[in-house]
Amino acid sequence: MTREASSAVGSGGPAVLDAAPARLSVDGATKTYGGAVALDDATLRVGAGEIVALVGHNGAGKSTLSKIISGYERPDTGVISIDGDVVHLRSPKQALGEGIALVPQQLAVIGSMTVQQNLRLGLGAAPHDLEAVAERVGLRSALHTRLDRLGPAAQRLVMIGRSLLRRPKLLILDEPTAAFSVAETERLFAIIRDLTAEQISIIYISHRLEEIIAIADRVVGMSQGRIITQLSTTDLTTDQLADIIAGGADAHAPEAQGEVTFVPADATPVSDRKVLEVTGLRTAAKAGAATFTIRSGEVVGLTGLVGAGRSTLLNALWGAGAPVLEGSVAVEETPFTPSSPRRAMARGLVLIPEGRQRTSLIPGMTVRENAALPTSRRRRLGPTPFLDRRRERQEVASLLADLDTKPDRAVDMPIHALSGGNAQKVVLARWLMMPSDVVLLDEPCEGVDVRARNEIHAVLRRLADQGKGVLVSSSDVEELVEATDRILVMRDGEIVAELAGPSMTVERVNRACL
Amino acid sequence: MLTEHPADPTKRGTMSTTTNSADDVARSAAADAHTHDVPEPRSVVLRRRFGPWGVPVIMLLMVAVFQSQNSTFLTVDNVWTILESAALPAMVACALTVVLVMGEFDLSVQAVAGFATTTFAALMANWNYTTITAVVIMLAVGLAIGALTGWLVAYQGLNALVVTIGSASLLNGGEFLVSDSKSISTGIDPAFVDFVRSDLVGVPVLVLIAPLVAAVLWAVLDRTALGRELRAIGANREAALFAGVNVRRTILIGFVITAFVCTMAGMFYTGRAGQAYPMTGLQVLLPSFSACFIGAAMFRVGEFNIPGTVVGAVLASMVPNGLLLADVSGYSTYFFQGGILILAVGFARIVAGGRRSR
Repeated sequence: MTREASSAVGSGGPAVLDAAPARLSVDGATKTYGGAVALDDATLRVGAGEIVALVGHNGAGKSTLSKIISGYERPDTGVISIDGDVVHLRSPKQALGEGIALVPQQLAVIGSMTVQQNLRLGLGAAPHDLEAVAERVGLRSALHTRLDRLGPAAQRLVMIGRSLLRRPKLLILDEPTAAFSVAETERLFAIIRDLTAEQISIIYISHRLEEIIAIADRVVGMSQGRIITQLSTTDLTTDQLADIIAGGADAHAPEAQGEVTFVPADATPVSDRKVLEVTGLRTAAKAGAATFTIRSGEVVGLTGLVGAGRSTLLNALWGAGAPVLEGSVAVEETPFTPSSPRRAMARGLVLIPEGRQRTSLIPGMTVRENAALPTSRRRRLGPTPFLDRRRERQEVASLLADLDTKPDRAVDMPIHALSGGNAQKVVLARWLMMPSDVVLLDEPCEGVDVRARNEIHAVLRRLADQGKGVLVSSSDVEELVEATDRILVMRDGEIVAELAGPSMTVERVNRACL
Repeated sequence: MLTEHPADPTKRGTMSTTTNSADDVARSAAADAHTHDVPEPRSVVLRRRFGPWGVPVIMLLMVAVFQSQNSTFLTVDNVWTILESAALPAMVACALTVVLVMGEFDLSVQAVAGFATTTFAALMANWNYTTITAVVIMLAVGLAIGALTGWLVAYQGLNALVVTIGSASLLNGGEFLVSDSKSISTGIDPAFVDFVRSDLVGVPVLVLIAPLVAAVLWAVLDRTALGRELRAIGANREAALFAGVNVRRTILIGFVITAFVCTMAGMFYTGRAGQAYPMTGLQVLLPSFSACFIGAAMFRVGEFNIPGTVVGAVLASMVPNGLLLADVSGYSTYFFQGGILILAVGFARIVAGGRRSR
């Protein structure tokens, strides 16, 4: 079936849908970011009025493909044509001019403006069809309401309306229903069907399998930057769809990518001592509540799709994120109320947050100053307020040497002189100097090469062997399966699955994420 | 990959007697290594190497010009005059540096100093407090002003610019209130006046006190955990928060330090002038900001630092003196001060521009 579909559209000739050329055709598009292949020889056809769903796990290449089609990125190679004419898209504006509009996942609206003002943002004169478009997205009656008085669904519809005012031929919707109720989703689907009746094509990106089956004509599955399947949704079940997405993950296991040897998650003695116990923790940012336990001596993985609420949970525990609405936390079996990073530190909790440039590194400071920042007050010259810089230098230098940080004499270098992986080791060193019982890490291997990644996991294993509890959040399921004892899967703020032992496979974890 | 590189002969910090030389060697070695690692355009290397010298070169040029116009400019007496007139502005500028380091602004430094000048005189002359009591009361008032500003900015999230413009106006009004809008010239402790105006081993007392205050503030910023946290807040507030820094309390402390030091400078001004009148205190708002920004173009380029601020303050007080001696009309000082400020900021930007990104 796959073969049939792709060969039929692949010829590009007068085949399947119409005699007319496809609304959009992408031929052999490839995009690499500094050596990493984000999109590999992608070929795609979208017919006029067709709804194509793009599926795949995190990092499969969906957003790269949609960015290329909508002019946000230029492909290294490959040809894009619209209605049979080859176009060279240099900017989103130019793509809009060619009739391609992307409605991104992030809400980009101005809450203090009315619906009408938001709709005409970026357009010179008030378009004469503004009311018609508002009618179409169901916001006619709310035209003069401030947008922040309306829910996230209305804000999403405003963004769609804004794209429609540009009279697109092809609309790309990236996770449009993320904050939608069932009724709101139905309304969006009605709007989409209405658009396709006017021969407007839709590329629909979503993780929600039921929605894809309900709305799409065809499913395009992606994995590791490649398009791996193209299927009609007519006889497709959600289970089959889950197989496609999860199977795609396994087909490109890390072993195939070169010599990746993770630290084996062997049977380290895990004690029954609970170092962290979270019960029904719900934050202001996500609907679900999380319940889980971390015991002394284990490395636990935490995964979930983008937006599942992993960072929200960890930052809430750290006292630096969305406030906790309900639930309880116990550290070392005594109750703990998250309030500030300082309090969390004092209770033996440390967090290595996501996004080291933004949340960890202090520009203009040396490696030593960066590493020593939270523990500065512990290293003073006797009773004076002055820092014992010699001791600081020794401690940081020896830790960096342990972590095999390059260059060797990095300790007094400015932090910006270090590469990503080495800067991450500095952040790691910062928190290794802080006495702790529980170590939380949020995407610690983001932008880090394979070698440094293995070293980081070796350190985590060592921490667990010292009796600490370690929780690593990552979107890289392969990494977690290889390097952790147990994996928690999160969805919308809730821990929905826990996998350990033989059931902890990449495929099962991926499936649990959906 | 990066091993050994010969120390850069033109390394920054050779001008400095106060910055730590080990740090500077490491910095310049690292910058050097970095340069070798990623080949950079020649222009970038050139401006990185010579940019830090921009302000010192301008300063030397000005000294040469002033000296050529009037040979008394570089006499021992005139140098002491310049340094003596730079002392109190330098104290205020160093105080301001603390707030700037943590990425905030304080436009009330001049008003705090002026309020201290008048109120200190009024405490002694109108309310007959002893000098010691008046000093203690004023220092407490200074702490309170700083704590209030800091609380509004750090805990209530108000914009520091707006808060300090407002508090400056309140304090100016306060000067008229405490002095009953009258000049205070009698009743100021003559012993205090004599002390402030005296010389110690041939050096004006203020020229000894100001560097002392600067040294303390430098030690706080550069050698204590508090200073490290202040700098972290200025460079990346979110990261400071995630690293467990008590951001709000630290910002409050920063404002308290600034107001406290400005109060001290204000009281010294009472002694130096021997009288007080509302709104005639230290005229230091523009010069102190100039000093800080000129300082950020020296030593630790792109960052506010105390040694740079001190040099900047000397430069800012040298200009009016030199112009006066050169018999140039008084108002040209404004052109020079404004011009130098913008030039200095420009140099800092050029030099630090490539480095601070990412």
